[in-house]
Parts: sequence; structure tokens; C-alpha cells
Amino acid sequence: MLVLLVALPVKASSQQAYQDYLYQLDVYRQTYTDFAVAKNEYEKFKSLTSQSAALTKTIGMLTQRDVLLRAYLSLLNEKLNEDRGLSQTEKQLYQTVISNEITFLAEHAGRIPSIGSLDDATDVSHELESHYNVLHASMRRIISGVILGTLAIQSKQFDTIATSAKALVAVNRGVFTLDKQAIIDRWMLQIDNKRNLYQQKINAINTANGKLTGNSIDDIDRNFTKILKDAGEAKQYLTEATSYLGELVTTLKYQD
Amino acid sequence: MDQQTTLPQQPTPQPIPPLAGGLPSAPPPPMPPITPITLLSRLKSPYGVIAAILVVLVIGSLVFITTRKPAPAPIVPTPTPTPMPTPTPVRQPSSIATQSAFLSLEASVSTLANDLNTLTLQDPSLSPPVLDLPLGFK
Repeated sequence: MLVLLVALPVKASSQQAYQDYLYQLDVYRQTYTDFAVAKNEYEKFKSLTSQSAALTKTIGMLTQRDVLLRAYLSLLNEKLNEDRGLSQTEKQLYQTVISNEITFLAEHAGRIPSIGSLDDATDVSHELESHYNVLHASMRRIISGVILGTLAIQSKQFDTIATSAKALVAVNRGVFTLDKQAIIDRWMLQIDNKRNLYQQKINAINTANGKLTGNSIDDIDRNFTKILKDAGEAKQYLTEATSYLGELVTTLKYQD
Repeated sequence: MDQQTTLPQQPTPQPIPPLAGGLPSAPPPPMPPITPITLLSRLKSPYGVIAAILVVLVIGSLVFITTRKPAPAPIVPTPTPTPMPTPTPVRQPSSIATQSAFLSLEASVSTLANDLNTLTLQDPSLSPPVLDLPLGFK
């Protein structure tokens, strides 16, 4: 009960951030549709009225675009706050990245009210466009961090259990025959091997995530997909190591 | 050469001598003409018809008996062999099988295995928004 009471506000914080993000996404889609209609009108008639309407809708869309991105970064921040697998240092590293991006977006949003023409709007928009690869890579890096945190929770649990198993074997080794002891030793070796393979994969993901960049959004997404694949393989190694632990438990359970 | 062809002399008919010891009897009465007995004539008689029918029936029965297919053997249900499971060898629990440390370890491994099986790495709610960035004014 106490655990639930402690956990609920944290969960609510992440869910609240997600609901806010979804709402801002809806508003952005509406403002983008309005902007697209006004732009078409202006390009069709080239009248002063249509130009003024297009400028107004462009400003509205640019403002909402920044709001949406900030809402998304807030969601990532809340997910990091909830994470129990990452170390405090890792978490702070990702949260610093989020903070820097929010600062950039806030400054960018501060320049939007001074837009006086469609050319100004194009220039201000271009500031975000030229930065967007960096921003997108940061987002993907933080998502990878959340995945690493999820895996870290499981690997910590695994390590605790494996340590208990080794301690149990060490204390009761004399109970078993020499043949049985050899079987137990082989299972423990297999468990360690799989755990090492898991760790190697995690190290590779950390390295790749640290330098996750790309010349385009597609390029970044491709590198991110590779990280996801590696994370799946790491999970598989941990699953296999856990199944070996199960075999060790069965071996210990019976005398013969 | 004066040779004359002489015909052989025909024997002169001799009267039939009377039978010794009696008067000559009257000639026997003429026999009725003998008609040949053919199969057809036999068949025309009622006995022949009955005999023919009997022969036909006997032959038909023989033909029927020799040519008919034997009746299929009745399907005798064969009992399905019951698979005999290999008996699981009774294993002797070790002395640590009842220890609380071992029972706790067993439960922890089972829980972790279940957690890993249900673990989803990527949270779909974290997909970044898709934006059309360039304004595209001509």
C-alpha cells in the first residue's frame, strides 16, 4: 500500500506530461493546417489581405511548434525522473541535454513576436530547421537512455540473484558428489559467459549512443534503429542467462 | 486277233427254298418307319423343357457362385495402442531443497524470467513528433 502511494504521484507526473504532449500535438496539427491553407491562399491571390493572413497563421504555427517540442522534451524529462535503472550521473547527463534544448527553444520562441514579414518568418523558421538534426539526435539519445535504464533494472536484479546462487553453492558444495559439483560449476560458467556478453552489448550501445548523430533525420533514425536492435540482443542474452540460472536451481534441487 | 468279248453270265434267280419242316409263312407285316430322335424333338416334350430349365438353373448357379466377388471382410476395430508414458524417474531431493535460501532463490529466478518475457524495451509513447519544418514560401 505504501509502495503504491509513493509510486502513484511519480506515475501521474509522467502521464500528465504525456497528456499535455498529446494536447499540444493536436493544437499544432490544427495551427499547421490553418497555416497551409493561408499560405495557399496567399500564393494564389498574392493580395495584401492574404499576405497578412498568411503571416498571422505562420506566426501562430511557429509558436505552437516550439510549444510542442518543449512539451515533448518535458515528457522525456519525466520519464528520466521515473527511471530506476540509470545512475544519477547518466540521468543528469541526459537532463542537461534536455535543459539545453529547452533553453534553445525558449530563445527561439522569444524571436517569433518580432517577425514582421514572411521573409522574417522564413529566417526564424530556418534557425530551428538548421538546429533540428542536433535536437532530433538528442531526443533519440535520451530515448536510448530510457531503454538502457529499463535493461539496467533487470540486470541489477539478475546480479543480485546470481550472487545469492553462488553463495548458496559455496556454502553447500560438500552436499553434492564430485560429478554433481562439476555440473554445477559448468552452469555457473555458462551464466557468467552470458552475463559478459550482455555487458559487452550494453557497452557497445553506450558508445554508439554517446555519438549518435547524422546528416539527416533519416540517418539519425537509422543509427537509432541499430541501437534498438542491439538492445534487443542484450535483452536476449540476459534472458538466456536467467534460464541458465533456472537450470542451476534445478540441479541444486535434486541429489542425483 | 479274233477275240470276242464275252459278258459275264448273270446268275439266274433261284426260288427261295421252303423252310424245312413247315409251310411257308406269310410275309411279316411292314415295320413302321423309324423316325430319327433329335435333341430338338426331345426338347419339345414337357420333360425336356423341365430338364432344360433345371440345367440352365444349375449352370447359372455355378456361374454366379464362381464369379461373384467375395463379401468384404467385416472391419474388426483394432484397439488403439495406449501410449505408455515413460515413467518419470523419481528424483531424490537434495538436502538444501527445503532451505529458505534455496526456496527464495527459486522464486526470484522464476519472477525474473517472467519479467524478462514480458519486458517491452521501446515505449511507443516516446516517439518524437513528425514535423514539416521548411515553410515553403515561394
